[in-house]
Amino acid sequence: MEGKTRELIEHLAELAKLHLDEKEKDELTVEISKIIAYFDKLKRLDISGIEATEYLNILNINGPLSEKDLRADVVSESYEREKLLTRPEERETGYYIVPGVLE
Amino acid sequence: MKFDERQPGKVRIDDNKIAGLSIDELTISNLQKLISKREISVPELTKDMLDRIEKLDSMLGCYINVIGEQAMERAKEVQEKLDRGEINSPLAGIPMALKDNICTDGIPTTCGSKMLADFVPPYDAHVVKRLYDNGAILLGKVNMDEFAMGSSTETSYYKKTINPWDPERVPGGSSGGSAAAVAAGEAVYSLGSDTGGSIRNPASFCGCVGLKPTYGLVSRYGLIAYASSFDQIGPITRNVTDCALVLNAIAGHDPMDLTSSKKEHPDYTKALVNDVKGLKIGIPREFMDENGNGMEKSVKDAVLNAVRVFLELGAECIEVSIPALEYVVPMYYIIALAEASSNLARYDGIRYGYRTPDYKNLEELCKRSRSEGFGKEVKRRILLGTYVLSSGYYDEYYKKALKSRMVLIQQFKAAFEKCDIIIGPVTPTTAYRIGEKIDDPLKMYMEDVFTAPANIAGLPAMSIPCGVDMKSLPIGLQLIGRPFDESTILRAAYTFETHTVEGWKNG
Repeated sequence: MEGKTRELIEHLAELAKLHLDEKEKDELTVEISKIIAYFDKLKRLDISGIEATEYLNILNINGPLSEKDLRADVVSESYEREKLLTRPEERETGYYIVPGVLE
Repeated sequence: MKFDERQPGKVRIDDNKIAGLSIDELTISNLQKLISKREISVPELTKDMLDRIEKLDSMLGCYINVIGEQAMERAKEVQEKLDRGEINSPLAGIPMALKDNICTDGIPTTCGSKMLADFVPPYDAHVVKRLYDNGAILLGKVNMDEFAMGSSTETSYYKKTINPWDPERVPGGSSGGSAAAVAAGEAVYSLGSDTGGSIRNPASFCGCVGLKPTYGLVSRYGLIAYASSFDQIGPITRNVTDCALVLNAIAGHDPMDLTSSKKEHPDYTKALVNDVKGLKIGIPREFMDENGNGMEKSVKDAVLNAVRVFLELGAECIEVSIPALEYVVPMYYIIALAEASSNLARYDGIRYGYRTPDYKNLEELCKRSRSEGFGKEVKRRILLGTYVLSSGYYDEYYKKALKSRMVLIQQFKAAFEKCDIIIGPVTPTTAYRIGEKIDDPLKMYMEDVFTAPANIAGLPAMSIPCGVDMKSLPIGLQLIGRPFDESTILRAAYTFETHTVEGWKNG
């Protein structure tokens, strides 16, 4: 765990789109190994016999989802633009402005 | 059995009266009587509360944002509505506070984070609409751990909230501001949110009543998400009656939240009955055994004392066993952090929230905004959540944890065949010192050992005061009920309260 953890942290930071400096990487390497070792405790719990269908439906508070749970696809009131676009350049153009993605 | 008068902590300045009431009497029911008898007006009451906040909050640090002008405007409106007979709710005219992860239209909602420092929601959360419909007066948004990630309110980007019972101690978290404000009389009641214990923990440390509803009872629409299969909004109040009143106002189906239950809910004030004869109360052996929970003797004694009180009042107390409770902390953290890493992916500096001033391309915009906007604990949790969801580890951690969750749910179900409610501690100790646990994440995570089970299993759970320790710090008793059976835990809580804390018999 220890040796590969720093690589792991860098990989996770990339996945999570976080930029970590060297000091942060050092600290997190130690902290996260410790926490993951603690998470490993869960492996001792016997989970045989639990079906996928059981744990995937846990949030179906009102029973299995069906089409009648969906709202009708009709035009309704939405938000005023000023509430959603807060930067001046956004208000002028009506767009969220970001650096170009394509060359 | 009666407890001695609690020794007020060093900070509580209680020669102050609000509407002629001492802080301990500042309940919804008492104020409602004064308002309806016209002995005090809503604007007068609101002004008194705002003055108190002005006087105390620079020391207590409960409020991130006080909305004085708007509160006075609304107070005037509500008084006029009351005068015209247009509003008839027990909450009308009562000033309250909202945890700053609950969206309020036009009012900044920061989530305790730099990431949302200038975020002004374009809509009200469902619970906010409900409270406004009931004539509630919002005083301001209160402090919390950043993105609700913490158990002490110490990870807030904005400020430290202190425990009104002792200025060197934490108020608990993540709804620390919500509980401290109620305890110190800076709000009559507040709403907090609870994902792994964030309502019950601070309620316990601050000597308040806190209730986490059954998952699905209260709409999450407008609650800034942390872990979507655990989060619930709930009341923090001075007594059980107030808790039932607020719950009545916020519970119920919301078409904007697909996980909100369509079931009709009862009138929770009907549960406020002083009777537990024949009630079967289960105490999990796994809660009470000294098996590394870190439970202090004073907490254990207080829970055992509560058992004695209930027995004297005619309830039956039996020991139950829920073996999966031993695995609650890793189970909770694996699932919650996985969900959190997904929920917090939306903060990319593009549409709202903090945007770094320093970027050359889209990738940097995103990475730097996130890294500069999020605090240490949030980043740690995102990384852990990413880990358990990442390819190669998903089955080993996340999937296993989901299955483990079902084991715990099944074991709770089996226990509830032998008893009607389950009681136990809320936190292993009373309020600890500021700074004591913040540098050891794992130590902090262990604070959730007694509260996280109810979130994992979606069960309703309350914390009510049940005594103080040798340092005069409040101890909370936890009551856990069957799904959608808030009424039974409210009844047990009300009965316990009636027989133990004399000063709170306020009708």
